[in-house]
Amino acid sequence: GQRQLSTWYLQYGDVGYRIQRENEAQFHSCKSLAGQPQLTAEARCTLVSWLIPVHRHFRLSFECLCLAVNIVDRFLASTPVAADCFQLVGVTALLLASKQVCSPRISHLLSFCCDAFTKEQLCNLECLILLRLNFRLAAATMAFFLDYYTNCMEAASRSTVGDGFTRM
Amino acid sequence: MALDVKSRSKRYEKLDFLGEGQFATVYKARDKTTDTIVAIKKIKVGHRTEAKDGINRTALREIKLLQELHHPNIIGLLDAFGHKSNISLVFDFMETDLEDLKPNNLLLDGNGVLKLADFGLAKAFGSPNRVYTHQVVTRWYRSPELLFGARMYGVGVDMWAVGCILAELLLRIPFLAGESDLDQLTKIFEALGTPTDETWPGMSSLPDYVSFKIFPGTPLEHIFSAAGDDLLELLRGLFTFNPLLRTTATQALKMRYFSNRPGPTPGPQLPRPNGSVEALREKETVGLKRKIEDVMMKKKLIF
Repeated sequence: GQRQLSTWYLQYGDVGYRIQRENEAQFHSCKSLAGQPQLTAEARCTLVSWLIPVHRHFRLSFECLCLAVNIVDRFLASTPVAADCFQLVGVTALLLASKQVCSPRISHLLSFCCDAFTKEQLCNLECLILLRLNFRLAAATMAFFLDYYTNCMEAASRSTVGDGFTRM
Repeated sequence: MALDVKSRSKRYEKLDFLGEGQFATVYKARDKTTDTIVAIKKIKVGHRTEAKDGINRTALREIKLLQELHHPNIIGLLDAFGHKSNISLVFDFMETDLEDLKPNNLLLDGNGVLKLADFGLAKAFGSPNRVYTHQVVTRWYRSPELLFGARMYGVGVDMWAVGCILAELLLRIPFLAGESDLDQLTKIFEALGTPTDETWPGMSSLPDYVSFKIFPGTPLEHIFSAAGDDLLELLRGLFTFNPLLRTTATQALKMRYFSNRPGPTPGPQLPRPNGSVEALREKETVGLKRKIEDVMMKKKLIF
């Protein structure tokens, strides 16, 4: 069966794509771990692997997960983080990302860290992350590009089918 | 943002309290660096009860979008700073008070330039997050697809709101002032006629669809008796029921209404609200307070 093309794609897919491509460079830090004395690529991998089931538990979107990882990376590029605070950075980034739609309770999120952190610590970090990111949260993430390309492929397959009919 | 947070907050000198709402307090202030007047919106996170889930979601969305938007007709977010758990946003100060598009969110600056304000409920352009909340626009400006509970909608909702604002400018009272969502739909159909599945395919499969009495509608030239044909043509395009056929901003700008004479009055020559500058300032402050209260109240109901 055919997959529905998204409304957003039909109405402004190409404009959206152009804007997101232009923004991409400003929102992605390739060297997020370069200035980190305590954090390794393995630690980052562990954090992301933990964020995946947690975001699923809260029924957050894939877009939200991608934005959370993006927030973590950009924050790491700006600020050295102690290893024992890394999970707090992850969970706070997830909270910030989820606030675009509907966010879980802080206490609920913290229970997923076995209450290793206090609410006050999380709230302070939330503000610090926002300041360090210059309040810029509208990152173009993988979620957007995957969705866009999926729509492009669907649209392309439709036009092929259409051509076939025309030829017949 | 490299600057120290404390020195940043010292950059602004508080002049006047403008208003307070559910999640923000607004002050008039002077930017000591540029010697300009700004409006500072201080997001409340201080109180333990209010800080239940950290920074207010609506405020965060507004910041996110305004950071990326730079347009002469959109209120400018000049700066954002925070101290401990307080976040403040610095905006252009709008002299006249005139996600959503309604007359209260249209401001005019001292040069008569229109600015859109309040993006707390706006959605990022081309966002792949397709399931939106349908409670996004103040009822009177809400499009029929939103009232029928559509979760996947596009720029058409804004164009409907533009139509309502244009109609209000002509009538000088809100065009479709419904008292409930059902009443809103009734008012729309009474004025414009009840749509059918032919004029609006897909209508009856919307989540909150209910069938309505068939109203014939009133010809627009009878409602807007002073409007010329070009303006009626524009209104008809904006009040198209099928969102996919509704006139888009690009199409609207190409319509005769925008090229026919007389051309628009340049901003600085627009008549200003009556009274002296002082009296005007006073009125503006009251207006802005009312606007802020209005916006806050609305948001409380929505979430």
